[in-house]
Amino acid sequence: MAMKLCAGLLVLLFAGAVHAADHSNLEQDFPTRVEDAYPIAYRAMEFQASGAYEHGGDHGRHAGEFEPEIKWGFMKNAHVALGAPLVFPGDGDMKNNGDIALEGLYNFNVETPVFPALAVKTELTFPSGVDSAGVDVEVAAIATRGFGAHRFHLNGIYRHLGAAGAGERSDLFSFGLGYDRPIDLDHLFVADFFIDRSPQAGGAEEFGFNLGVRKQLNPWSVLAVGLGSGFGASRTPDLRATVGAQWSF
Amino acid sequence: MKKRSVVRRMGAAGLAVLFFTLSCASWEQRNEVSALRGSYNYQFYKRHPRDFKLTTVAHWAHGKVSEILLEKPRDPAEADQALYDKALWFLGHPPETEPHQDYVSPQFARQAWRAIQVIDWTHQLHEQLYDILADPAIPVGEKKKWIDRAVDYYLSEPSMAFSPAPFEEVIMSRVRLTSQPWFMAFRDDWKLTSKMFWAFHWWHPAVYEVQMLFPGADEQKRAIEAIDDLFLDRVLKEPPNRMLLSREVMPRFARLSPEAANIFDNLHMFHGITYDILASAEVKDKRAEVYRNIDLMLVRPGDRRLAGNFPTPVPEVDPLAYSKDMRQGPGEMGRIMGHGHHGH
Repeated sequence: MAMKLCAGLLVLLFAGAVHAADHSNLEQDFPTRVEDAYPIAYRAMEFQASGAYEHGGDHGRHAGEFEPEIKWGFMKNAHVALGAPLVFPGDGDMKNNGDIALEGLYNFNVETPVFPALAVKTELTFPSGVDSAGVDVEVAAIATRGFGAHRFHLNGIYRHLGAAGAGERSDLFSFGLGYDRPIDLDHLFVADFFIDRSPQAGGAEEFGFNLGVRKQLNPWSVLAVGLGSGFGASRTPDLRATVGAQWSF
Repeated sequence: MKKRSVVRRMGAAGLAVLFFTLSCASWEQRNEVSALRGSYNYQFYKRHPRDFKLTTVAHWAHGKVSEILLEKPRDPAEADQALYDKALWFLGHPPETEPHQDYVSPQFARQAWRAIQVIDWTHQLHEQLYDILADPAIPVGEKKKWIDRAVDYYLSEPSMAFSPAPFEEVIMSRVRLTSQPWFMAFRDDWKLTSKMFWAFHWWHPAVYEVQMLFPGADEQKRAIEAIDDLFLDRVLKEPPNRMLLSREVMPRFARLSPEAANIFDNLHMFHGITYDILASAEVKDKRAEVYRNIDLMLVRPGDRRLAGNFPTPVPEVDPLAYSKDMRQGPGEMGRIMGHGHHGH
């Protein structure tokens, strides 16, 4: 009965609209970390799956990551997303795998020749995963401003860990600068650079960057590939390769 | 403690500055809305990929002109030739998919977001109707029901839906096109591009009409291939001498959905109006003038009752013939304007 009710609710929520994918609407880790200030369209729905390989860094010599995410434009200028980030480290420690992340993004304005587009994003990560504890809360301020065909994105992120471990900080900050430019009508070049406060008390700041391409495959799907690296601390990966696909329906 | 207090005050001051700036700035939201869901979605892309990809070039060119005009090219005739050449190259190397207008004309999007919004929203309706006509699973007798559903959805966003009233009402009575100081400012310097757009405005409706005439999957595929060949081999080289109205090129479809036919005429006219405003030295505040015209062209209560108020001069037109009526003469535009104007 509950299943039928849920299915009926989903049909009511999502029936009525179909969304064309948009390779120029940047999402986190697809393939860059920095995102733009725009949500998906009202009544649109997207499913996205991205995977990454990391060499070196805090997950050991080799590690894999996978994140499925579903996104819904529930009102004009806003969306919510539900994701489940999974990490498969070389040492086999599956801690936190199975946590559920709920995200909401609201865009205040469209950019003008003088003023950037601004958005606020909040994310709650629930401790539903392996050996997980405490709800993590993240708040991000996002700005997007273009000059000609060049677009720049500024992300400022505060994250509070609900249950920081011994020797870990509970309050973390990140800043990222992203860039994108059309290669042609189907391909978008993307890049970003970011600084993270180390989660370890007394740890040095961590730096990283990504370069990548987002390709519009057809009206309803986008492919993203990227390469990145980190520096400034032993925790950052030497190499990070990302691939992802997104379907709009 | 003292340090924390300073940080708080700085944060509050930053927020105050942010909100003050936002309130002073010309505040607009993106308000993007998804297209209507139906079993027919993407049927045209799947069944007629060549035409879909070629069509993206028409939409690219329409967006690109706004971008170039904003940059005020020193020699407009040279810019006209360059854009025309690039469009011809694109027709030989079309993209896989169609980007939104703000991808093609980002500076114009920052300048006048609502213009991008009304164009993209009307392109969504266009894609819906192509999909419905291309879908062999929808019986011919049911096409109108689905088309009306898509038009209803389009009109349900009145802040970005063009009026379904005909050219005579929207362009002549509301916009008062011929008495505007910017009227025909674009056409004089952009002769090649203007004629290319008139060719595009024959092509899109011609595809509607062959879909009406050839609803079966295989026959429709052959007919659209023939229209595309006709467009590339003949119409581009010998374009119409004016902007054709929907009723001239797709009279059957215009009778099936007069609302949609008028909406597309209004979109095509809006493109021309925008180019005139951007090209005109008479208009200082481009954004305000573009927005004033959008407000005049949007749907108003009662507009649907006016939708069918237009003649169809050649109701049995053969879209595959590209007859002399299409290429020469005053046409409907000249008749409405009451003189030899060849339109926009």
